[in-house]
Amino acid sequence: MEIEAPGGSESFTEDDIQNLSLQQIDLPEQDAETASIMESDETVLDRLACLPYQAFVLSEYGRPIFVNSGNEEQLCSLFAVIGIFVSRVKLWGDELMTITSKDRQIQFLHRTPLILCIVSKYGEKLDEQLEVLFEQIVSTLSRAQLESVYRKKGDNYDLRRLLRGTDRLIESSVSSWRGTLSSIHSAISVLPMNPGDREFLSATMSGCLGAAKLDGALFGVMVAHRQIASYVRFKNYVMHPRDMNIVINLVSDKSLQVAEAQTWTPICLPHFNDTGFFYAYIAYPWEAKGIPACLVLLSVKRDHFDGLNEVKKRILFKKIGSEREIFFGNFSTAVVKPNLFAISQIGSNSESLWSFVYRNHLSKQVCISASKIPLISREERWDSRSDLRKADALVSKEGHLRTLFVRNTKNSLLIWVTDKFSLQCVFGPFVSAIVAFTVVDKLLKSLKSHEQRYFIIHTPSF
Amino acid sequence: MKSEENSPALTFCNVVFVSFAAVIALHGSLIASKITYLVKKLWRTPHDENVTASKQNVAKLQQKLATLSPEAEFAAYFKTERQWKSEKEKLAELEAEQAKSLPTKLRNVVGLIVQAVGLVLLRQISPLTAFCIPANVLWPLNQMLRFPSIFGNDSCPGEFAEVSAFMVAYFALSLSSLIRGLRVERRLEGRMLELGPPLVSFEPDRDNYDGNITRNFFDVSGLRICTMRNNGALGLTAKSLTSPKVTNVRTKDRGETSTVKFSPNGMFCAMQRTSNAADIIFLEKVENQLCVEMSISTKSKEPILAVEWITNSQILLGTNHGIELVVLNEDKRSSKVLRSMNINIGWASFYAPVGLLIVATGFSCSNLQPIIVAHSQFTRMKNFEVEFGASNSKEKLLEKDITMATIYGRVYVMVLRYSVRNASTTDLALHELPSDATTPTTFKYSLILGFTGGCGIHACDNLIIVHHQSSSLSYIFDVGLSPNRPNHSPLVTVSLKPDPSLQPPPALYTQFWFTFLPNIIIDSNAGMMYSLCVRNEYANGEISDKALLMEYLARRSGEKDLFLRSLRSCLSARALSLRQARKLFNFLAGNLASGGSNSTTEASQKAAFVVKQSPPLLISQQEMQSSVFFPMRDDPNLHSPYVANTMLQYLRALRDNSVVVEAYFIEMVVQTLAEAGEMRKLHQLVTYRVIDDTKPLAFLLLSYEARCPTLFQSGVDILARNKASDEIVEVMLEKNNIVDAIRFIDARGLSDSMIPKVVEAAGKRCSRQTRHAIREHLCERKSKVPLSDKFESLYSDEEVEAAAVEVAHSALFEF
Repeated sequence: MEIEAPGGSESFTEDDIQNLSLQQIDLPEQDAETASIMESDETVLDRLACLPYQAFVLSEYGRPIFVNSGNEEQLCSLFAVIGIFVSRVKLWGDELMTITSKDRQIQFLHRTPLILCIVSKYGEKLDEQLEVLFEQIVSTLSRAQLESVYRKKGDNYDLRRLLRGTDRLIESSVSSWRGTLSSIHSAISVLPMNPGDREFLSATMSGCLGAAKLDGALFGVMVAHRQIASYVRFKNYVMHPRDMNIVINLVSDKSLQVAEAQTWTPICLPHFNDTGFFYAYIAYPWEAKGIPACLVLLSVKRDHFDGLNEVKKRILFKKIGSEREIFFGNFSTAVVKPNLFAISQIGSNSESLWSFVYRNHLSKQVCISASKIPLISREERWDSRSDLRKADALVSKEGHLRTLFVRNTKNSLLIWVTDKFSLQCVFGPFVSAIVAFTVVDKLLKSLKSHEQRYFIIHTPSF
Repeated sequence: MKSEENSPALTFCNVVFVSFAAVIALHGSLIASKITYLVKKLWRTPHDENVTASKQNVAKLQQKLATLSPEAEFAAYFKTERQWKSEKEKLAELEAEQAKSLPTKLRNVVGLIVQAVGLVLLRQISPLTAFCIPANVLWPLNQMLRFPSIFGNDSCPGEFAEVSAFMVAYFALSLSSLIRGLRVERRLEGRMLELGPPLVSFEPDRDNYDGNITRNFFDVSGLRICTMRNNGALGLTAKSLTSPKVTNVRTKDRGETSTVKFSPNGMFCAMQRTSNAADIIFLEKVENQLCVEMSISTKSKEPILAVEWITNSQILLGTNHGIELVVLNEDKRSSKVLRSMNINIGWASFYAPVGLLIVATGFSCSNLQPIIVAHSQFTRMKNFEVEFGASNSKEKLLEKDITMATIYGRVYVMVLRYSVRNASTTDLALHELPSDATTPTTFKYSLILGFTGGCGIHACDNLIIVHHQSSSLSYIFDVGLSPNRPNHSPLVTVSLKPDPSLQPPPALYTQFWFTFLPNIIIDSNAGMMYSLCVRNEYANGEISDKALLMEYLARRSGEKDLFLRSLRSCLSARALSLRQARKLFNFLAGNLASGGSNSTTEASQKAAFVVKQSPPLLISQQEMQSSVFFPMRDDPNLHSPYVANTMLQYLRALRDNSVVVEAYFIEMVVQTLAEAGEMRKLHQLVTYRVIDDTKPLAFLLLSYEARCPTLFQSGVDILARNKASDEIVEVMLEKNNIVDAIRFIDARGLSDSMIPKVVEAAGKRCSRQTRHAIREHLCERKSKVPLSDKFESLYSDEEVEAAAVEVAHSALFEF
């Protein structure tokens, strides 16, 4: 069956030649402030054990850098053990990947000069999660800087001095892995909008950026609720979804969300170039009006702040008149109350479909269904998501597996993987496989017919 | 009577004393030695000081010796060595003295004490009198009977003699020990072959005793002993072991008789008084107190070799040149030849049970021609040559060397074969006679004998028993134990024992013995006809291999109880390996499968003769269960997996022979397997459907779920195969698999009758999510089952709203 994959076919993966030179910056070292309250080792360990997962970052030398419970100093010995595990196996000319116990899985990642480790009850895609964590660290320091710091300051250097203040970002990166589905898939989720409104927004952004003729301003993104509303780019430079997620992670930080304020911050996008820095112009233009949308403009030039500030102003006030008013009304509704894909809109028999996650492989965009009875409470949603994850892990482990229909006691799962897309559905427990497939068929058709609403089909460039 | 007052009464104390005195008198020395032994054990005498000192000396000297060098200090060395040796000798002497003196001394002392106690007791009890007997009955022994009181205590009236209590006790004790000894002896004896009842006595042969001549004949076909006095003039008496009826008639004296044979119904008797004619005596027609008779002869008037009754009105006459079947007309007293056959006959032997005539032809008479005489027909079967060890001294095969018998439903011609070199009997060759005329007779078995001298052959209960006279031994063969092996050694070698009721015991293995098939022994000297009994209950002592024993017992007729008893004890003692048990069970199950009917039915069309076969051992499953498996299960000493495996072997045997297995047996197997913890085997039994599906079995399996989870599915599978859908739903509800229960109802398309139950269970135990799903599903099914309020308003509007916002805003949540 030839299935038309909704969500556009514009590929994200094409690797453009990155011949753009990026600037190097010197990060100011911050002095370590003394920890105000020193907790005992025991309480720290207890707190750590209570978490559903534990992420550790340390230097090759065994120096603690990050743990998701905080208070790294108290856990020195634990870090040392991790360091010894990795270095010992490395001494054997091998690499330590995982340790599996009955109910825990421990994943290691050794990226010079850091060692990352995660202990989790859920063993799905832990390696990718560590990659994301590493990239998050790189995004503040850049890889080149990371290496040179240790070269210059010695192996025993405490990297936390450089990372101070970014713990929050690292933590939210780690927790977003569990919270949102898009990061799992290395994809982005799109804010549902009227196609016309989206086109208007994109056209405005690309028009203003193009008109400014700022050499080095590459991307413009409009973000709301960790979802992309609009995205424009310079010529055919593309941003990797993981880089996009780093940007989203940055702008979702509450400390930046100040009305009428502009932030100008360096950021390294590892998939674009992990040796240099972009400068992100971040503004929350309508924060005062209660619209949590964020405009991000990325440039490689350090002195583009004023230029980009101008661009922002122009975007906001490009068109005056009824057209803009209508757009703004629609846009604010879409942002304040995002209208996710409701399953009921696919028509009859849809009652048995409880939830789905659709991912387009080419454009790397995901579409998630709106919440629906009976998956209402957090426990119910979490349980069904865990079931999906397990099934998904099974599918990704068995490369040849294309469809999977599982009847659990609580629900039924349908997983369908093709070259173009993958679809994960949670059905009610009494649905038969035939009914499930007809529903899925309808769902795909419905998605296709509304694809401009739920996906960014065309990315304008300037 | 006055004396009675001063004679002590028989109190309990006195009775005890009397018994002790008697015991001491009888077993005094035994008691003494026992006590000595005990005392020696208890009273471990401390070592003599001399001995200990001497021992210390020896040890000291030996130590000293070890320090000296025999070369450097040879003088000192050898001096010490001499001392050491002499000291050692002294020690040995001392020890020997101690060892010897102590027990002998002790024994003497103890003996003395015991005797003294005995005497004291005797003194004590001497006035006790048990009863009085008239003085003249045992007159010279009166003094003895009142021992230990020599002169009597005048407790009895004048003409009566006292019998002392001591003497009564003494005799009672010695009598009891005698009986015990006898019993022990009887038990130990190999009594597997018994000579005994039924038996009949007859008048032995006598020549010219008071002018009377007595002759005895044995009628082989009718198994009767016929005593003829004065050639019948004084009477002809026929007795049989099987019936108490005694035929007693008188005939004319027409010279010496050589053969007496009774017709099957016992109404006629064929006698041969002259060489070329046979006389038929009408036993029930009497004229002048003598029986009516008629004479028949062959056409050729040649000397008659054989006269045999075929039916009540047909008689077979054999001469050197042919055989004739003559039919009698009782009323007309005439006879006519019905059929005849020309054949050169050396000798002929008739086997009545199947109407088989074996005719020996040829110079050495070793070419045997079997002829079946039945339905007024002669049926020639294929002739065959037998090898009998022909030599210069023994040129011809003799009639006495061949015997015919039916063993395990086959007719065999048994030939005694002799060694060519000496006169020893090497073996008994069994030639199997096929039941249809076209197949040739085949040599089947050789029973190895290897003795010299006279012997007798019996064949009863499918056993072949060969008695050897000079060694007084009997050899029992059972060819059924290994039917494919040509050479057989004796299974059991025993001596015949007379039945204990025969008093005085008859002489055994005498030269006057004659043996006749199947089991008749005639002692012509004593004038007794015995039957030989095989007492299988004693086979236990004769056949040490338990597997062989059980195989043997399984093939005996009428030994079901014995077999079951032995089987149980063998299995309880784990004397049979599982493989052996299976072989045995296969045999039993094979018998069950054939249902005891003879397998000759299909061959009966072609068969020239029909053989009567003893019914095989039939043991029903119930009998096996009640007398073997239940006791085994209840035996706490038996390893339960062994019991279970034994049952499995039986089950397998039953299935191999396609016998329908009874439900109660399966239930027992399942229970035993479960108790033995052999869950894997049980699971396989169910999975491969070795045992039939029944609902009770399914529930039994379900109840074992806790011990073996896979059995649960097996149980449900059985229910499913039995289409017990409602039960499956119940089971699922019990297991809290409510969703599965509904799916099952859907898949089976069951009616809604079970749904209220499911709904009720779901309301109690299901999560909100599942309740919602059930409600939706029932709506979709349009079933009209009332839902409880547990299914209503599961989700509040605020909740739904909050969830929608959280999902839409991609807000993070963690657990």
